[in-house]
Amino acid sequence: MNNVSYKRAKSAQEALQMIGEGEHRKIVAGGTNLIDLLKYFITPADTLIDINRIEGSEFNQIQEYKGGLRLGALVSNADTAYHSLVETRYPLLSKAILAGASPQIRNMATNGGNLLQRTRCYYFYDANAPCNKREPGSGCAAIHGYNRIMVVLGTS
Amino acid sequence: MICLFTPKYFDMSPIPHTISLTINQQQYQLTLLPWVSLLDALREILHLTGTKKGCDHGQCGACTVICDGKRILSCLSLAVMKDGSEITTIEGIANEGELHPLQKAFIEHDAFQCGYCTPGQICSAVGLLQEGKAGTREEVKELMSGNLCRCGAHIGIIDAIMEVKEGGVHE
Repeated sequence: MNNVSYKRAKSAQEALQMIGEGEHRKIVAGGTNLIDLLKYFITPADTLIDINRIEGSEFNQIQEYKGGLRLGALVSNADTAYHSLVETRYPLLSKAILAGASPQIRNMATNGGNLLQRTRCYYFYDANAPCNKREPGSGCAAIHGYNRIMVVLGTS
Repeated sequence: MICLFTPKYFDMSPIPHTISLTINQQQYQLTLLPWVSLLDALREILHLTGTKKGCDHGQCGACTVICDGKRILSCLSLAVMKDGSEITTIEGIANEGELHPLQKAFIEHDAFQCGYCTPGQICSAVGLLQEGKAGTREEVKELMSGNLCRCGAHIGIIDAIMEVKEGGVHE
């Protein structure tokens, strides 16, 4: 696993300040994607900024907002999918979340991280395969015939 | 556990962190490097080897533990991030030597062959029952899909969970 230092932010302001203090700093909340990427040495990171304990209810709640809902960035996928307002007013969103990942991952993963996660393409995670997303210009394993899982994933 | 490969952009010496964890109702204080996963902390430092390392990438569920009442994957959790948390592992599922009803049901229904995935399966099933979102057998299957069993004991596993869910008791 990628060796990293660890800092815990107490507020959004502090998190922003910490992230600005270095080039390879990453925000971590659920960690289900980032920790995995660090294990594969795929994401350059020297410091993790843990935002799980930042103050502010807006990050931890699902609230009515301008006729819709505002999903807090730190609310887990499971809590979002099973939230009564999401279940009654946005059942498709609830079902879509429950169709993804696993119950354990949905308990950990957050709404913010859901938007920020990297592609799930196997070639991206396989450091032996070329991948334009991981290393621009290196190519794409799926384009030139190594197509074991291409039907599912396509190319880029 | 300490990785020998140090990326070139890593330009500072790692600082160990001291954290406290309540594991199976026992308090622990640990000093560890930030990249140690909760799974490695449990297994390598505390020698609670009931929690298994399967894929170590969040795909198999063998490392499932219950953290603050929720089933999570200990392989994708950094121990430092869980500072102050309450964790239950398979070692803490039984009550003073008396097997948990799920443990008894797993034995009754032959819900394993090699047994490697079993601690994760049982912790996950405990979490599933606490969550209370599964009604039908189909839903139990779906909500146990985060735990793989390469021996193919899934039918026995679902049988065992259904029995406990529906109030079956084994003596």
